[in-house]
Amino acid sequence: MSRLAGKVALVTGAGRGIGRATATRLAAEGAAVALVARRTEDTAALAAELAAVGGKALALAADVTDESAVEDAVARTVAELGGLDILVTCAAAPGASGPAEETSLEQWRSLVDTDLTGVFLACRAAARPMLTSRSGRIVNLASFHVVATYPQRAAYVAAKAGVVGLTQALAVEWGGRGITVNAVAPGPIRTERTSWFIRQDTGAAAGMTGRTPTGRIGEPEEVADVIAFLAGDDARHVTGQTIVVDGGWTRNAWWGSHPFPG
Amino acid sequence: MSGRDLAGRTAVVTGAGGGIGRALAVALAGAGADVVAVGRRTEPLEETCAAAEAAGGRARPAPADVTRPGAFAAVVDALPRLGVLVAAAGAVVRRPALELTEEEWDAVVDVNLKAAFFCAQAAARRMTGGGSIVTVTSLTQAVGIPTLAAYGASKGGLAALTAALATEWAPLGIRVNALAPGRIRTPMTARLLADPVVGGSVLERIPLGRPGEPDELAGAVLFLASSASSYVTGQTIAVDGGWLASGGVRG
Repeated sequence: MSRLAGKVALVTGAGRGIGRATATRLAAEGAAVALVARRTEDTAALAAELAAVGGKALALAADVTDESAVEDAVARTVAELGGLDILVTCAAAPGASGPAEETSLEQWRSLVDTDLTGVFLACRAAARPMLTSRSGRIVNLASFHVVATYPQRAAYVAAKAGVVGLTQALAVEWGGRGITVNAVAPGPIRTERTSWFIRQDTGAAAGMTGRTPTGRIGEPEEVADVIAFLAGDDARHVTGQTIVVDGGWTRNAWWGSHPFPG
Repeated sequence: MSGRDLAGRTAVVTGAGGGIGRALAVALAGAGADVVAVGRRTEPLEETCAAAEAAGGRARPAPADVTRPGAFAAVVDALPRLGVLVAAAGAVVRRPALELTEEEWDAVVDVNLKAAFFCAQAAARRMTGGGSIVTVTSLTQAVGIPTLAAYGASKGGLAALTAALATEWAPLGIRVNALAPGRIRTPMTARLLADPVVGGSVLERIPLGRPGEPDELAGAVLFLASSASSYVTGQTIAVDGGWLASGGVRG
């Protein structure tokens, strides 16, 4: 599969979960991939794995809330991999922040910094080479919580809704200059971050599966499939959109073990 | 909302014989509108009008089958003027989609979608000085519920119709908006809410923790019917205790 042969992608949050699956998928399609994470333990191992199967990957340490670190990561990607065609922003802080009335300003700022400002910084940095080449694909990770929310994650939901707004704004502003900007909004996905919850034998975990029409939690690779579509030429006329990847969760209003009313 | 905000305006309410339609008719009458209560059977309409009068308003019954466009047009054509239409007539069939018959599909879509359009068309032709049309949609315009395929399709269509008419009739000074009730305690939902298992499960997914009462839709319909919403058109206002915002997650 070489749909993305010759392309260069930068993936933030690439060490784990959806970011890791996305980087792996883009590499499998032929892209050279810059793997950005705060620490390089996971991404260096992933880069080695990808190189072992003929891929080209570069592990870069950067905190997405650090403006100059993000600029440096993009500059090194362009210098070492030969350009930048695709940006996927997967870096995000854990969502649960406790009761809204007890959320501290520090918690709020920290979450919005990572989940929203970090996306802006990456988009801005990546857009410069893309605008020069008049060609680019940006995919931002939102969340199904922009459609329907859980309690006790107000900052996360607000930040992710901000990502959807940012996606629309950038799509409109850069559309005429060759860059498409879209978002993917995953539902419950099996990742390191959710595994503790999914493993628990609780009603909540069963309820999460039970209300999903497909009857199961999604896999990171299933989100990566949609990101790969948006990152490729097949999606060249799609921009400003948010695609929900949730097994139908947010479109279902009836679930559980009780029978449907006849 | 001022108590006599709709004084002097004529408001036609379909589905006014019970449930949500009755509550909306009483609310409009209470706000000073001259209400014309439309439904198939006269007796329930008279009860609605009595309730409207008890609330200090004026209402009269106008029996008509809204699925026959001519019958409804005759009601509005006989009015000297018309300012407000609230299209609340609705039908529901709960049946697995694999078993749903053409007759059942037609019965639901005829009332919820086709009749709503022709009532709106007949009313708009009479709204020579502008007006406000309020359709009644549902949570199912946004989310799916098994066994409600025809109902959900009709309400989704009604939401699209609301937006289409809002844009087309804006130059005529006619605003068109939708009211989307969540779980409301009415005869149509009585069986569902009374079921100890299903009803409990429905209720625990409403952030406000209870079903709505029909008269809790009054504020939204008075807002949409009156000049308080003079710059609002093509919108849906959900009155659902927070259901849509939460996706029905237990709080």
